[in-house]
Formats: sequence, structure tokens, C-alpha cells
Amino acid sequence: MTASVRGVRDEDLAVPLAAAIDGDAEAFAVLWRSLHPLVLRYLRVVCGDAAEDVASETWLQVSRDLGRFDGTATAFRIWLFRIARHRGIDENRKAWRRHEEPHEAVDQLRVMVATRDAATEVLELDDTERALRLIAGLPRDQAEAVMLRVVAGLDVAGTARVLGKRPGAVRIAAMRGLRKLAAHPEVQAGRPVGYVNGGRGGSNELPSQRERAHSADERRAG
Amino acid sequence: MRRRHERPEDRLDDLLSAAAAPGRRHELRGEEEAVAGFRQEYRPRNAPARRPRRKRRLLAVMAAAVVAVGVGGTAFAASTGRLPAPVQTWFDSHTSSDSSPTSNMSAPQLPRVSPSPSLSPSPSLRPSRTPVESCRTWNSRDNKPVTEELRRELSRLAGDEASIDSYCHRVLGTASTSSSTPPPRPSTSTGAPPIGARTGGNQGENDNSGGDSDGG
Repeated sequence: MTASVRGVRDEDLAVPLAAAIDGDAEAFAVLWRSLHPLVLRYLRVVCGDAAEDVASETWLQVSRDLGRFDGTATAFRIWLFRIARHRGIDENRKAWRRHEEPHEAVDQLRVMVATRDAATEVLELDDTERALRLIAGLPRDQAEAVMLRVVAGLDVAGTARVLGKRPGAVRIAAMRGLRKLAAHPEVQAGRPVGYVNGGRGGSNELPSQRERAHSADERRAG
Repeated sequence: MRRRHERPEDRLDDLLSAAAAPGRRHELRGEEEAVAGFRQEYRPRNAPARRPRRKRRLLAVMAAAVVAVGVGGTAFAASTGRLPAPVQTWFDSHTSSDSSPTSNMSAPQLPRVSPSPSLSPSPSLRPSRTPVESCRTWNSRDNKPVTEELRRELSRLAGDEASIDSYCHRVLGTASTSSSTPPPRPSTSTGAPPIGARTGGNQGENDNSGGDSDGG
């Protein structure tokens, strides 16, 4: 796979990981800055809007147990995403129970979701958001496999450990997911995913803000 | 990053690169909370192995504190006559008589051992006589026979039975007049605080070595 995580390499994490295991909060901050965005993106696929809360819980559990962690940076990455996944699934169960109860609430929820999706269409147009949205649209097992392989930067064995599956199943799920993405009309149409974010010399934040403002103007005009 | 997307593979590649792009600012919110959480939740794997010295020192301090409180509680109980007779006797014979509750001189010494009512011996222990009470009983015996227990106790305090009268004279004289000169004691004449401090120190060291073997 040509696409892999840029900027977060295990060899860069080894030193801060060792220090954080010894209780160094600064080193923990380095780990957090490197991996939190990836955890967040993965959790958006697993548990949607609860991703931020679940990510916070994930890091709290990491904080509690890191002193007993004994492994490489790769193992840490696997451990981290396993915790995130379990927390996310727990959150889904809780949310499911909450939704099951009153019928009115479910209807309200549908309205809320519809509204939010419309807002998302308009406001979150940067490349990363668009890519994540496409991946999240895949069947769940494929989406998770792609996210862990591509975004979390795990190899097939590591992804298999996070998902609790056999490596063969992971390989197949990831392959199907990627094939589906490649066949997606948006990708097929050659709609330039790299368009907004393509200016790699500029800041990551400004283009998307500009884009948002632009879209809002368009909406007002139309 | 490529600007042109000639082939579908390239487009997919860009899509995946975008998904794995470095964290945006809004994705890096919450670092302070996360680090604060780490500071609060982090527990070292095995504290004794990693920080033996600190734990040992902590154990020593805790042991010393326990002993100090214990001695303090004992001193408090003894000075209020709440110890069992043998302990009270030991206490009285190892402290100057001015530590008895009827003596005004004992008052300033008590706060130093920080007595706590909850730390004194349990209420089930029978209140015992102070030397002053014993001597009062002894002097007011008149013709009635004195209990063997009282005789033994006072004999021990005075050194021998023949010295009981003079001992009680000194004790009662001091207690009743609140004299500033403590009565001479035949056997031991150390004051309460040094005893407490010394005992606490010794036992603290003993407990400390116990802590070492536990911790190491």
C-alpha cells in the first residue's frame, strides 16, 4: 500500500514512549499529539459523533495502564487502537440502549442527523473530511480495516489484533474496502480530492476555513 | 502531493493520504486535559522496585508517626490515669511525678505529644490509680488493712516498703502544693518528653528496618 501515515513513525515514538512509561507527562503529550488525531479519525468511523468523548476516555485508560505497558512503539499503537475500539463499541451499545427507549426520541434523532448531515456537507469540505466520510461510508468491517491500515498505520497483523480477526480476513476486508473506494463515483469522476489540501506549503487550517466561507457565500447566493 | 490525478490509483492514493494527513488544529484540542489526566491517573508499574528509597523513607516516616502517636496516646492516657495498673505504674516510675494529672506542671508537657481521644486506649480498660491517688489511699488507711495490690504498687514506686511513707510524703507534698521543684526520685528521674522522644526514635528505626526488608 503506497499510502501510509505520514509524520508518525514508530521509531519517532520509541523515545517518548519509554519516557511516558516512566511517568513523564511531557513525553505523554508527544504521544498524544502524534496519535490523537488518528485515534479521533478511527473513532469517527467506529462511533461517529461520540468520537471525541471516547477518545478522551481512551487516553485516560492509557494513562492509567501505561506504567504497566511493556512493549515497542508498534505494540503501543496496537494497544492504543484496541482500547479505542473497545471503548467505541461500548459507547455504541450505550447509545443503542438510549435510542431504543422512547420513539419520539428516535424521530428527533433522525431529524437531528438529517440536519447535521446537511451542515456537514456544507461546512466540512476539506480533503481529510471528505476522505474520512467516504471511508466511513464503507461496510463497517471494511471501513475499520482501511482506517487501521491506512490511517492508524498498522500492518495486517496489528490490524488483525485490534479487530480480533485473522490476518486473512483483515487482508480481504481492506482490499474490498479499497476497491470500493476506488470505484466510488466521487473518486472515479476524478474530483480532485487533493484540491483544497493540495497547497501543502500553506497552513492546513486556512484553506478549509476559506472553503467554508466560500461555501457559505454560495449558499446565501443560491 | 500530486496535483494531477490522471489514473484512478492516484486518486485513491490521494484520498488515503488525505485521510492520514497530519492532525488539524481542531483535532489537537484537548491536549491539556489529556496531559492533566495522565498526571492524575498514571501509576508506575511497581513502585517499590522503581523508587525503593522514596518508599523506604515514606515507611520510616509513617512508622515514626505511628509510634509518636502511640506514645503520645499512651502519655495522654497515663496522665489521665486511664492505663491498666501495670502500664500506669511503669509510666509513673519512668516519668517524674510531676506528670501526674494533679500537678500543674504536667499541663504544658501534654500538648507536645498531641493527644487524641480516639487514640487513647479503649474505654474497656479499667481506670487505674495514679501515684497521688495511691498515696492518698495509703495515708488515709488508718487502721484498715491496705490491699496487697496497693502495698506492692507503692513498694515498687518507692523502692521498698519501708520507703513508702517518705515517698508518699514527697508525692503528696508536691501535688498538693504545686511546688515548682519536682521531688527527687530514687530510681529514674527522666521527664516524660525525653522518654517519648527516645522511645519513638528507637522504635521508628526498628520499624524502618522492617520496612526495608519488606520493600527491598
